[in-house]
Amino acid sequence: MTESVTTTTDGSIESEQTTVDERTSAESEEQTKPEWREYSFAGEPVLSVEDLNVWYGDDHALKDISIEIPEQSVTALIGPSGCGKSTFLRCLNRMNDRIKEARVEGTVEFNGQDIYADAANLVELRKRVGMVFQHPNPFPKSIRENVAYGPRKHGDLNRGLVARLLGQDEKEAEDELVEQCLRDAALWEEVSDRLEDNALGLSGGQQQRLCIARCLAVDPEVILMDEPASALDPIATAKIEDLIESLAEEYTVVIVTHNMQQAARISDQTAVFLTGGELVEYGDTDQVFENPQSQRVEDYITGKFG
Amino acid sequence: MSDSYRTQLVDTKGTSYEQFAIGVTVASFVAFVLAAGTLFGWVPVAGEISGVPGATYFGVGVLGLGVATGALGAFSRWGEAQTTPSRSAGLVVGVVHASIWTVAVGLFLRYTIGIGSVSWLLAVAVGVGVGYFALALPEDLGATAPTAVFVAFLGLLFVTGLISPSWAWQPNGTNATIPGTLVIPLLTMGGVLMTGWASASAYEGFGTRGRQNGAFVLISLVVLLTLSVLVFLLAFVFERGIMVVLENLTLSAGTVTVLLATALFALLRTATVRPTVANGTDRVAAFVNLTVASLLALATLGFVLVIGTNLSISAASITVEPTAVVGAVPGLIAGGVVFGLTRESGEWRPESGRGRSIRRAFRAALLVAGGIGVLELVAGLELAVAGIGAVSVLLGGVVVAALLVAAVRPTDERTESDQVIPPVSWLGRVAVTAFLLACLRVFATGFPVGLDQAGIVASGTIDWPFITNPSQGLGIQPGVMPAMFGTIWIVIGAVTFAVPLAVGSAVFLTEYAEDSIFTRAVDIATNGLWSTPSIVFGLFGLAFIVPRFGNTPSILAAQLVLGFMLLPLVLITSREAMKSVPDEYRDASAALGVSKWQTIRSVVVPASMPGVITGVILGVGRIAGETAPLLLVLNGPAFPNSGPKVLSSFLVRIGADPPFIHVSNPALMERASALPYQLYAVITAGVGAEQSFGWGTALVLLGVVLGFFLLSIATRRYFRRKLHQ
Repeated sequence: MTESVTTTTDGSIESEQTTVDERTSAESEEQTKPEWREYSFAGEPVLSVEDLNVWYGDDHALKDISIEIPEQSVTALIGPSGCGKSTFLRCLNRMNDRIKEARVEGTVEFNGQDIYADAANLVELRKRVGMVFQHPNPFPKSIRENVAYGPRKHGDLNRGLVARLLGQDEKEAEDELVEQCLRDAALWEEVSDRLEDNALGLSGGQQQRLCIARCLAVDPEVILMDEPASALDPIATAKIEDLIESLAEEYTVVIVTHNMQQAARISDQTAVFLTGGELVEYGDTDQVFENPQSQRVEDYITGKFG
Repeated sequence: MSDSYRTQLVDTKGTSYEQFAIGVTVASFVAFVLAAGTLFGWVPVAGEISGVPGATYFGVGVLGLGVATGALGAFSRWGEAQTTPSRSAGLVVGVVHASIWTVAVGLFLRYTIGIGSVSWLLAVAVGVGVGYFALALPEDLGATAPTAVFVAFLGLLFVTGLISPSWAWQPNGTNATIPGTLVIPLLTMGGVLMTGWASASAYEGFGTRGRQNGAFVLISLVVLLTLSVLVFLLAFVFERGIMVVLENLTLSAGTVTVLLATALFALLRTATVRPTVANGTDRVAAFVNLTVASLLALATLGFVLVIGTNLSISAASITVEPTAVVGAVPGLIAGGVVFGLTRESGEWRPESGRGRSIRRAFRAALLVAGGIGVLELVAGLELAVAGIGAVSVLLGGVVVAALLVAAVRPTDERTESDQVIPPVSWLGRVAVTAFLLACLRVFATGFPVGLDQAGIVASGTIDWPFITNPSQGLGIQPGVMPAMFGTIWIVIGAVTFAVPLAVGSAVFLTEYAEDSIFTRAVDIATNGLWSTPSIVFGLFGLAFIVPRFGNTPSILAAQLVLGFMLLPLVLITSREAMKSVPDEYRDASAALGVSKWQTIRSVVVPASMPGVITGVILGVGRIAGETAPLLLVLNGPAFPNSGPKVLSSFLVRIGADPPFIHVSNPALMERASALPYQLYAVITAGVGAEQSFGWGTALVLLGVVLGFFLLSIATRRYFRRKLHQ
């Protein structure tokens, strides 16, 4: 990220974002970059990653990843199994912290703030960078409680016995929020009459859209999706894909997928990871699929490998 | 012929061979049940039935089953039956037959014929021969023939009277005497296990499917035996204790009717009673439910008739008085149950203005009734017998009228705007609320509602001396009230003490501590603690807790000691339950930015609640019946005159010293009695007349444990429903 960008555009930077770490990356500027890294896009990168390395014990899972992700678009991460694309995704909201033997080096900046800084606020980070997992994982609670879970726990919605006794119950606000999130996740029509039913009674595709709604409820800027449709049937997958495309109008979506057709259909830009944890190509989706720069990527895309 | 046909893909049951085989299986099953009944003393074997000794019936039956099993094998081999036997019955069958034959022949030669030690050599030779026979011949002969001969031989022994009920076996070198009344049913059960297995195998034509079916029958019979042992144990205690427990019981028919009707309602609401729409074990359960529901309905009708005809029933020192008076406490229980069960269906949201006014009127009436009750309680006066009675009667009347209207009017004719008539479920709920309010008012103020013959009164509708009185001395009315409350308080205290500690430790060990030598050591220590003998806990309590809490054995000491005993089990089960909560939930919660503690509180602990309660259920069963530690740390009079007054002796004093509010409870610091403790005292007193008192105490103890079980199971059900519905 260059100085000029930070100073000229500030439209996307929230006022509450005090700088965590204003590290300028002068050294990395001087490194020789492959040709495709010239990829440029209009506007501000919401996430910018510099020289990210991840080890699981002795296993070097990600090697020198540098990438910038533009806002309000869909970025697909594709690649064969075990190439580190899910690891990379989990670095973006520090979910790798939950794995004991994982070690992360490098810089990940979210709106210009280093999320790996010591003073980084994990709660705030994960509220702004939400995540949807491969297997739908709604809580064994009602649909309403699932959606309202995040805001309730963050104290944004005051519910419960004490609130009711004090007359501060925010049921209306919650109703509104739940409806809005379920509408945004294209699930409202299907569940509006059974919000109090247990979420485990929904079908797989509905559960996954509920997980997306649950993620939307904490009002994130970025949504990370780890193969969100791989456990679903084609119809549910189509619904999730439509949903992702509409979400990109408001949110930044980063999606890991195994399915190259899916990446081609829904993403604006595509990053290709190949075995060994390297980022081999990154650019406009059309360009990556039609005219890849790297021979390895071309082999992978045309199915000669992986 | 077994070799000359190919297995049909679609098996049409009903060849005569299959019918014969299933007949033998069913007969074996019946014989097994009868033999088990003999063992428990329900079927006579020693006596004579129409001039023929009972043992002869067994002999003929067993002989017939043996011959039939042999016939099954022979038909399969040489007849027209279409079977698919394997080449051999298999090693297990061979070894089992060899051992059975060795033991049987050896015992027969040694003790019945009486030819010295050489009999065992002969027996081993015969056993090996039979084993080889079972292995070498095709399955249909190998599996049936040794069984058939053995069982037929057993039958002959019984018929000829070589083994008769008066016969007894005294093995050399022991003092034991095993009477024929025990040997005959045991041998019969063993024999019919074999014929049942062989015929079930024959039913499916031997081979893989045959073995599968044989194993199924064998296991079913063993399960039946296990269950019947448990049922027998309970029935044994029940039979001996029930008359003592029910001695001089007096009931009012009104209370009984209300309780029975509530039980019926609860059963119909929560269980399925339609066997035709259920499958598998659900169908069996539905049959049982249907039977229970029918019995309840009949009993309810019976008591209504008692009220109607005004005849009091009294049998075996139990009296039912034909009054329609309902006790406040039973009424509260019944009303509470119905209220809880109708919680979800009792909503009515009328859209028209008139509907809303009707609803408002109902609510106002209920409020007025409640208000009058509160006023009476505060003023200590019986203000408005007419008032509250009238309100209840009015509500009841309106409800009945509306029920009639609703019943007459078909539902599909109602339009959206025509919602003036409330739905039946809502009206029922209003009636139940009114009833509950009336009961509550009677309970709180003590003033009855209604007339002398039909109404709600504070007490006297159930007079149950054994449960509600202390023991009044030798030979007079026995009672268990103090001991029962002792047990209840001890269990409540132990659970309150142990569960939060155990759940807290489980949270730490599972969620915070990393899997290490430390956690493994804690696991091993917990398991060890759970298997520690209870007397050791008792000794610890006596030496450590008692000196520190008033230097006298007390309820509190017993609560703590039993709490220590409960702790490890609840910890183990809570840990297992928390480990089985999927990590996906924790990930999902963390990805929303929710802190670990919040995640534990709102996801992990609720999801593991059913497991925690399972631990409590198992643990309470153990500690409620614990006697040894109570001898040391409770050690009160076995038959106290009054129960522990725990509820009424809480002292709250506000003072100037920190912590400013001082709570004490002298009753907890006193010695007391408990059911197992009292039972021990009754039995060791050694007075013959008191033995029935002991059985009664045991039955009440079973009842108390069962009550705790039901409470826990209901709680677990509540949490499971919350998680899965």
